[in-house]
Amino acid sequence: MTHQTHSYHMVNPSPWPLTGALSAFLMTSGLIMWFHFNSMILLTLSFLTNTLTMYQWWRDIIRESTFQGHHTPTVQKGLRYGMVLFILSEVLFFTGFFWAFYHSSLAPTPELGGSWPPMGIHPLNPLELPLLNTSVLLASGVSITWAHHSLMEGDRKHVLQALLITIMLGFYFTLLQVSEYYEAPFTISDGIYGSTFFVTTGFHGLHVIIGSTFLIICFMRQMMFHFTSGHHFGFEAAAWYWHFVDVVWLFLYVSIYWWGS
Amino acid sequence: MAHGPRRSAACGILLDRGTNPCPLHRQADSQPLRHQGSPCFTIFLNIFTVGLRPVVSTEAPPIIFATPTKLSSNSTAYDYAGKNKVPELQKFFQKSDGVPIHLKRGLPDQMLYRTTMALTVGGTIYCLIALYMASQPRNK
Repeated sequence: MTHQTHSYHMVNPSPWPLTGALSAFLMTSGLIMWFHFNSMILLTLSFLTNTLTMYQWWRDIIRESTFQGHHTPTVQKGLRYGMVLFILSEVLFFTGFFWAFYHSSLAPTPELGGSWPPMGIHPLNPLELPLLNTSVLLASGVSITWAHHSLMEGDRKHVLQALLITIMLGFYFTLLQVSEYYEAPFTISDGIYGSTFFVTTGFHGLHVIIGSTFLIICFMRQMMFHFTSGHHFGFEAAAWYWHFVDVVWLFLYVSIYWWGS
Repeated sequence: MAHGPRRSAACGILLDRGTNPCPLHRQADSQPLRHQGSPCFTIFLNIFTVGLRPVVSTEAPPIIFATPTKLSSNSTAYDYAGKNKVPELQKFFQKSDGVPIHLKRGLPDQMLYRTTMALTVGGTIYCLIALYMASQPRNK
């Protein structure tokens, strides 16, 4: 009988890193084909293979942890470090776009009329929809904390309720942003203002969608009794990510919507 | 709120209910977990949760055979979720048949794996051909 004498997880050989890498290759090549040759086949294929990889990879992790018990405290510690480092990398990603915003807005060039917002740009009123969006995300931060405490206390019904509220608030935010994008009097091609505004808020919106998806997965797992009051790292990771998304929005709101108007 | 990485002393917090076949994973613990934190936070939490705390004593009550062990979820009142299938799934996935985790469910896993592989590898070959063709100079 061979038993491991350590608390780490020696994973079964898996094909998903390969399919993930290949799908990334297809995605970059697909972008080239789309930009230069007006063909979307490769790009579509890349999204499909990427989704399949993510689904199966994370499905396997759930099997290894919830069903096979491989996630010892040692393993969980590694996962925590990993999630922290990933979120840190995302913080740095957004830092770049905020850098670009401040670079252009702190010293507006003569071409912009020497002012920020640039001449001819009518920024959105920060006290209207953007303020509502801020309150929506802050409320979702409260509800996800409620969900977490309910989970720690074994209160199943309230975990589901609070998670659902968080998800719905996330959807509400996304809908409000979509309508804001539609109604905005300026576009992405309106100089550096348009570029910094839409690229930064756009990537933020994408992260809201990713975070909402993560929360929906947690909701489904909670329905299926995967989480226990003492071991629910998947939920915690989702909560951390959600708080990160909220904090990025607060920076966005203060910098671009408020100070930048 | 964020929680830092747990120290290995956290091992002792996870309780084993005994009925779980896999000693590494405790699914059926019903003791609410108190995170280590500042005294202020603990007092704050206690004040607001006194009425909500489940009435569970730390010692096992005198067991009557008719009373089932309390699981972390009461399945009687909430039927919308169906029953807890985790214990049987645990037994299923812990069968030592040498099959890797991504194929352990059998046919549905195989189908999905083959589809993914076919699409990615096929797509890569298509991509390489397309890139080769794109790199050929166009005749004016």
